[in-house]
Amino acid sequence: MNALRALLGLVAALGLQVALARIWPDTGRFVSLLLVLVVTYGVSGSQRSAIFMGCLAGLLNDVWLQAGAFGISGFKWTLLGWLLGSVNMRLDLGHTPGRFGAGVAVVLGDSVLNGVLARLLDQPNEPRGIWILLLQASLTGLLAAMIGSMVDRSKATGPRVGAPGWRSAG
Amino acid sequence: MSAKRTGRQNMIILVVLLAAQLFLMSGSVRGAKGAATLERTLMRVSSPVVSLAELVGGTIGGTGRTLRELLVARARNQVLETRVRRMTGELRYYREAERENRRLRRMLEMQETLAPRSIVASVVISSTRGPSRMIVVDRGTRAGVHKDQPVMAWGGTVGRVVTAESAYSKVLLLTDPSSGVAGLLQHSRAQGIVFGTEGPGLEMRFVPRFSNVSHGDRVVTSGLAGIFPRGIGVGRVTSIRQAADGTQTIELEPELDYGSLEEVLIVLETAEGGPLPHPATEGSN
Repeated sequence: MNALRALLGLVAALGLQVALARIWPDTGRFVSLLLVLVVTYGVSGSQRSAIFMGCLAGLLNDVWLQAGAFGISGFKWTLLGWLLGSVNMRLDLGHTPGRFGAGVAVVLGDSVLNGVLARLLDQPNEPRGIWILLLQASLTGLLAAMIGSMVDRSKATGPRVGAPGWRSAG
Repeated sequence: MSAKRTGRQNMIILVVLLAAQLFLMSGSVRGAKGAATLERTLMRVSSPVVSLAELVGGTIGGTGRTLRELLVARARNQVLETRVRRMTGELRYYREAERENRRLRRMLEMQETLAPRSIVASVVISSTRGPSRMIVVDRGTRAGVHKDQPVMAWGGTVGRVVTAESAYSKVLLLTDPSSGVAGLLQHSRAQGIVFGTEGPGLEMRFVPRFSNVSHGDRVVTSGLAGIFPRGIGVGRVTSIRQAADGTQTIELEPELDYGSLEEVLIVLETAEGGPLPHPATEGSN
């Protein structure tokens, strides 16, 4: 069930990104919905699901939305998914500021990793302008926070696991 | 204990995935077959999603673009319509000015040829139908106008001044039943008196019985009464009949359209000049 939901999420993010690019060709410069999905899984799912989501979303991004070496986004986002999952295990990021911060951090991390990998693989890398990067980070954080709260609301049958008021059955 | 194991498992998964992708990356950079095959496979699997998204996005984008273009076209259309309206107004104004200019030039020409001592007046009131046919012009005694002075327009005789005030004068039209002018058939030189009628036309009476008169012959002023200069157009013959007194009575179609007079020439002092050019040969106003 979780795998199906993840697959649907991937399909929706890819479809929406492609459709938006047809309506407004500059969409890809400012936001990556696949990366937003990785952030969402990183702060609300398990670490393993974040790793797999990062891997699949990155590979889809490599196939359809970037022209560099195949696997580069897969590599970056797998690593970022794992990192996000690790941080989420220690500090609970399942709230709006946490999700926003995670979105911002992931975009900045992606940019840094992109530069490092491009240098390692001797690939051309044109760094994004600082304002574009900040805008992309903010948008990603905002979208991650919005999607997270929507998911929370849809699940709102009781207090969130680990949140104040939650009691273990044991 | 379980969390630790899960963490270790996750680490193994991470390392495996990263290694695999590092391998993919380097393969892709080197142009290895395996990386390209995997990329193509992934592309083939996910292509229906992309095709559908492209279709939806393209439709929405196309509709948006069409709407935007429509809005732009509508705004541009409004601007152009406004410009066309303004230019049409200007064109109408210039055409009117050009017509006025032509009329005044002809008046000037007529003034120079026939009546050097004359003034141009604009028609302010026009009553060309009904029992009394007259016009009121914007020149009066202050400009030297007085009773019985002849009034002309380009192409023919208008009438004579019947009342002159300081700034305005009333002119009795030739078509008024009470007016009359000495006329001359231009072709046969036969003479008569031209009167206004109850209808729109004119009537030339007392034309000698054996005078040679034909349809379409032109009648001009003879200048005998001393009011009008000689040779100014009056009308054209439309029908001829024998009167009881043995003379001929000729019906005429006036040369002027009295209803569309805008400027007239009031002759202050007659002078014997050349014949008035006929509008049919010089171009109509």
